[in-house]
Amino acid sequence: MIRTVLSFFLLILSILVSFSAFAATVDISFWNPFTGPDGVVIEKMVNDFNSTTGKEKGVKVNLLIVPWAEYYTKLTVAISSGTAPNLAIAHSHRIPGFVKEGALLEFNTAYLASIGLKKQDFVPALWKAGEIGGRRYGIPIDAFPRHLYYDRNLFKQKGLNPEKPPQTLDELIETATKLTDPQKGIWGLWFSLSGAWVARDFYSYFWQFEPNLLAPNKREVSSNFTEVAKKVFQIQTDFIRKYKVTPSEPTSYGALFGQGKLGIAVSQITELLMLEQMEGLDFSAAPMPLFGKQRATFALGHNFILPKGKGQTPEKIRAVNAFIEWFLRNSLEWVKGGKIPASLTLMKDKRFSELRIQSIVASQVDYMKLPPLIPEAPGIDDIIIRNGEAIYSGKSSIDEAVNRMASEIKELLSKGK
Amino acid sequence: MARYKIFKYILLLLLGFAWLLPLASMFLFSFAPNSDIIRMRLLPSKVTLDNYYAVFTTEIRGVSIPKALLNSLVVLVIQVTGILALDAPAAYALARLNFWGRETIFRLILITMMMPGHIILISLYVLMASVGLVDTLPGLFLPGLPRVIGIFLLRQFFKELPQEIEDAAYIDGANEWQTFIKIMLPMASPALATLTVITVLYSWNNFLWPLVILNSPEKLTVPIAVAYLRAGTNVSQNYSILLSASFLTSLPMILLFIFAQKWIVKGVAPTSGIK
Amino acid sequence: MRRKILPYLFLAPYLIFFLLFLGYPIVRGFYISLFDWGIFGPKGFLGLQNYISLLHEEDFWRALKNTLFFTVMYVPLMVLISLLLAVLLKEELPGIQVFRTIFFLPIVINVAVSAVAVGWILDPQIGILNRILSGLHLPTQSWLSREGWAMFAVVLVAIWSGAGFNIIIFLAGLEGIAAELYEAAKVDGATAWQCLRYITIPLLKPVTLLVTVLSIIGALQVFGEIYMLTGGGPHGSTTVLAYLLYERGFTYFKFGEAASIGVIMTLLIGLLSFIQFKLFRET
Repeated sequence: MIRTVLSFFLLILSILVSFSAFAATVDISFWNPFTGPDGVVIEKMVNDFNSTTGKEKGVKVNLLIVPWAEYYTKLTVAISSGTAPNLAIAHSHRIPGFVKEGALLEFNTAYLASIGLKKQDFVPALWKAGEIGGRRYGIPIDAFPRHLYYDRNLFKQKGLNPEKPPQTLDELIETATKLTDPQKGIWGLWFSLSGAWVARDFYSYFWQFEPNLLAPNKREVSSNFTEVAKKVFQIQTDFIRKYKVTPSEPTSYGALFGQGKLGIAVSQITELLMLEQMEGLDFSAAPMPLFGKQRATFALGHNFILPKGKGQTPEKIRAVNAFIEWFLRNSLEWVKGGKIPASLTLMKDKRFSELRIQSIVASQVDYMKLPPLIPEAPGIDDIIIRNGEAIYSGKSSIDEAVNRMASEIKELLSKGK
Repeated sequence: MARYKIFKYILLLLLGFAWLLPLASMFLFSFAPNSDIIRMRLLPSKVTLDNYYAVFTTEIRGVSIPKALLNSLVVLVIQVTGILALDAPAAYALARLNFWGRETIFRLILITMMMPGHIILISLYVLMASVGLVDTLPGLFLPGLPRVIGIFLLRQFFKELPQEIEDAAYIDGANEWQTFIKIMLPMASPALATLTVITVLYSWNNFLWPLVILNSPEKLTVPIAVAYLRAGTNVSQNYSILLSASFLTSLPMILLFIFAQKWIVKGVAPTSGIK
Repeated sequence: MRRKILPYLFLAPYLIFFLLFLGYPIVRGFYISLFDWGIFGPKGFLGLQNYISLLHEEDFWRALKNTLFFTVMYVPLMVLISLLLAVLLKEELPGIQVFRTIFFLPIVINVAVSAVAVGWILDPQIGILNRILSGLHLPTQSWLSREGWAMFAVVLVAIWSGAGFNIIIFLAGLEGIAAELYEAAKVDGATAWQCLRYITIPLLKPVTLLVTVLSIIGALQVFGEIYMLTGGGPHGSTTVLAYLLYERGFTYFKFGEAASIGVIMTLLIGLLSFIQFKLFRET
């Protein structure tokens, strides 16, 4: 009798167990563009999650790192053909464009409240960037403002104080000139002459003179755009052509630092790991120098987004949320890989203050600025980049290029409805 | 004259060396460690199979070369069978059977051969998107099936066969279908062989359409996989793997070339539009 | 009755695919070019606005210029090199079969691998071309990041991979020249150079014309090499029409504009193809 009951009991038990094993792992796909050293960081974090909390909750994250240059193309195609991943990363200024096309799902605000995600916790600009029409489409995970890196050894060699990096235009010119040594092939200052960073550096300096890139109606550039832009590009080209402290050809600043041939570089915190891995390089960071009237520096942030797609069932979304929750709790790991936290709480944490370089860069939090959060933002970037490159390569005069920028931006903004 | 011959020979040697250099060095260094490449050595320092091992076992940015090879193979088989099955009867009809509108239809088909593929790139994509075939293998191979070159080549061939063959078959009581299957097709085997070879080359090496229609890394065919790899390759890390992947995926076509050079050469003439 | 519909049955399978995947898209291409069409669907009817804006765009004229620049660099080089190689390969020299294989082989290599193989040699950091050049005390270049040279690099890859095709055509043409002509010339004491100049080249004129026209048509559509090697740069100097089309369509998702570029390309190239076809159908 007892044996029958026992075996019946065991039968029920085994059925229940197999059921839970059946309902076990939910696989979620996660796309991101982290092809640099931070790719290693995200991979490790995903593995950590999968082997700990993921296992407990029955969630497995499948990571896919898409080459940066193709990331948004592939993501857009995937969303439009219904084959989007369950979770993806987007820069803050990409979110409006996606939302306009109806490409994203919103995050459940009740859920966000339940895991303690509060507006006050976050850097205001980053928090606002993910919200459109009162709905939350992006959860910020970090920020990366522009700032300086400099070679402390080189400073000492040239009799400069490594604890006092230049912070004004005059100081920068003076310091860079002292550092430059043409005979040894040493340059005082480096900034990017091509690619995305052309725009980012431009914005940083522009906003120090004029806080608004666009006119209030958002249909054209602000009234003193041309004047300020010309001034900024004049300052930049002076470094190259007048003071001759900056190389005139595109070069890899990392290689220059590694060879001890560069004093100061204008870069961003995401490059931290690359520099840390260079042997013999003793470097530090400084906030973006002040050329204009008020301090400002360009910043962007990464966000989690939920693409729309056939695979986005409630179950998958729950699994995604589990990962996001874990990730936010472990943000310190992410930030160590070369980021500023999006969370004010983490920024005030003692463990963060131990991260020397990140802390220096994070001191800019009150004046770091995101680009205009409109769907045309990436298009504006392209216009600035193209014309900026023409200026730096000498193909175009500053006047011509800046006037073109103004008219092209106006045309771009008038096309949108 | 002999001096002239020597001059020619030297010229041939120099040009030949330059021509062979890309493939030969790719082949050689696919067996070399990546450090050799960074140091720009002229010859590999040692022979290693590490690169090939990596190509077979690892996924780079979600792209797996074995998977890409499989994708390309599937598409190849379907396209070759499909093209032969569709083109042969159609070409025969256009060459030998009489029906209303025959020449008009042929001219219409021919006109499209003169248009660059680019005009339909966007509209094909939109078409595929509307039926949900974006980023799928059918979306990839279907548009390649009605290849006009096949019609052109086979029709030309059929046209040149003597009328007596069909007359004789008719006398023997065969209908058109039987004539076609049992007599015409076998006779057309040289043309079919040529068509098969150029279709194999087309299918395996097709670049533009797969680039446009495929998106997920696991669906990529061989040329796009190589392109994707190259984009994600860091000179200091894994260039040698790129070389092995490139060579490995070209090997089938190189073998095809060695064994079927005759057919490839024969395929050049119709492809260029003469005859 | 059966007799009447049978041919159509033979034709039908092909014709269905043809209409679906060739005929209809061609017509639709024109249609889409009249709209502001995004990847998520059409956004508004524009009529000929796409064409008008395109013709006002600096990018379009630059792409046209780059396409012509490529063509002008590519075609003469291609024709000369393939002709030269065909003449050399016609000889009965020892190991000629090996040489033929060397020059034909790139035909079967796809454009991605060609770009990897040749691009590696040209690479400024790890490529051996610069190393060889500096060894011979010749100036080196950053081939792919300087404006004119980048196009030259693209031309090199295109010639490397395509010459074999034209060599075969030239060889067929050479075969058509009767051996007696050469023998008679030698009897009259002509040198090899004179043979080349007065027999070979004039008699090859039709074939040369064919190869030239084919090369032009191919050059106007060049895409893969540019995508792989330069991505349209530096500073858009290698952005040709086909690349502009791809960029507009699949990087910026402006399908309407891309379709209009496609239509313009078709008009340009279609005309040339038609001429080529008419000229050589009877050869």
